[in-house]
Amino acid sequence: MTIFQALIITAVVWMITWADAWYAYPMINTPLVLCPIIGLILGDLQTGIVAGATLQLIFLGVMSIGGTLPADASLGSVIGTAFAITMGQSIETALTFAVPIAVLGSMFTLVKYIINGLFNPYVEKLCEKGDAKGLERIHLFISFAPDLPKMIVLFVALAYGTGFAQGIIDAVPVNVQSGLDYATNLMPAVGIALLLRMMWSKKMAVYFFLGVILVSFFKIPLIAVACVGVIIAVIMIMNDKKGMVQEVATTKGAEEDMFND
Amino acid sequence: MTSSTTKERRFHVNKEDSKMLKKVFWRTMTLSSTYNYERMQGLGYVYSMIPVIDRYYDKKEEKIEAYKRHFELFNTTPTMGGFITGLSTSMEKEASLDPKFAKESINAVKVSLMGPFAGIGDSIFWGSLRIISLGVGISLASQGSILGLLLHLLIFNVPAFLVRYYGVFAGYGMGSSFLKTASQNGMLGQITKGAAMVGLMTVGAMACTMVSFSTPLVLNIEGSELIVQDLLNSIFPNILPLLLTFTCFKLLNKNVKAIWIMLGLMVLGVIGKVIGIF
Repeated sequence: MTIFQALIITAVVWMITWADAWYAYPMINTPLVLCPIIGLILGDLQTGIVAGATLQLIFLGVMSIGGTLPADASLGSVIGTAFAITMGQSIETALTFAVPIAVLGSMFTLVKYIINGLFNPYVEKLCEKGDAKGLERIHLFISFAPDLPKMIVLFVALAYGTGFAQGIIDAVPVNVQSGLDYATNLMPAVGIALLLRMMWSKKMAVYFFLGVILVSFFKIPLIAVACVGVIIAVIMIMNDKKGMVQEVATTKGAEEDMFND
Repeated sequence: MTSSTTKERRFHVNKEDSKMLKKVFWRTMTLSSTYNYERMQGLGYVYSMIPVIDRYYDKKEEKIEAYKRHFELFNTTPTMGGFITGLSTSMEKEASLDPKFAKESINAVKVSLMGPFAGIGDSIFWGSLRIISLGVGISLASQGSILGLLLHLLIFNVPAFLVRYYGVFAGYGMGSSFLKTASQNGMLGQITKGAAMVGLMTVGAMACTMVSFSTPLVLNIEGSELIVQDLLNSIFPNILPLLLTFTCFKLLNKNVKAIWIMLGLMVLGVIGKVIGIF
């Protein structure tokens, strides 16, 4: 990887990180989207797409809710995929680097939130002065600038890390490599388990098994499972609504609007 | 607020209002981009309210008071934020017209709604829609198709965009009484429950299709060969992926960190390969 390519990747990742937060999280700062772009820049789109799918699956359960600190799936995936492509290695190499880097990367989110907070007294002063232009400027500035430390680390890792990564890969015995390759197939279980922990409740558990049965025995695709789910949800809500129709009568129109959305 | 004024408002968004609300919509999306631990999305909220404050207040002191009012702790799912910024807009309008308006109520309403809306937003967009769009995207992308990425973006963003956009107008038009009723009479709870249900079904389907766990093991029992995977399939297809997923789930519930489980699976993979059961 040339320094120029490393610079381009860093710039693109920075832009996507910013845009994801600035446009209310349209889910662009995810391995599924980032890895193909890395592939495109490094001249191997195909590997990028497949690496994106594999890494996305592993990091599926990773998300930030209410300001918690999750693993930095994007940072890990970008560096992992870039290493795998430059070294001409398979997806499992991307995985080997992506997981530990993602875990360490959560530190940068912490740093960013702390840096963001340092501006609070200044923002307060701007409010006191009634300086709307200043408020707009500082909001835009904080939305991207505190990512600088992370982007420097990303650039250095990309530009100068390949040799180091190659050394690690060369030192790993063949048996271990094929074992890691196999583990790539098992890892999504962790992501799915993380999701389950968030959603699971005894009352709702039956729907998990409905999904299991639909694909195991009827072999229908995922999107069809989701559609069946939406239909059951609508039926369920309509049935429940009959009971409280009096209460909701005044707000009915708006609820339907929500569904159409 | 009486229902007649609510109606009047819903149908009378004039051009000027619409222009301002569009600005609020674009700005509301940025809520979380300057998140910090002390005020959370406070700065984002001020930023969203600037066009409103500048339009409705003439006196400098009133503007300053309003900026300060909105630079307080706030946190919700940015996609759902429009309902609340829209509502704040209509309350600021009222406050600017009526000198007796209790301005503390603007923040009180914000704070009372941010929790319910974060709950519903997290379950619909993070818990359900995100999983569906990523799931469809992953299954296509793993076959090497760029369509996976495009479908993921479309499936997630078309509904999310509509909610972001119309949320601002809905919040402005419906007023505080409606949104309060909605969060109290269980309507939001219903939708949250429905979203959780769809999410769980999708996750169940993904546990079967996206975890590939099988064994090439062949047992020799008194001369006849027994293919272990066939036996397992006849008990229940996908039994191994399901067992693995539940094992991980149990471990997480025992507060084992995800990273340790992942490392454990790597070790398991290596050991399995060496002794030949995978």
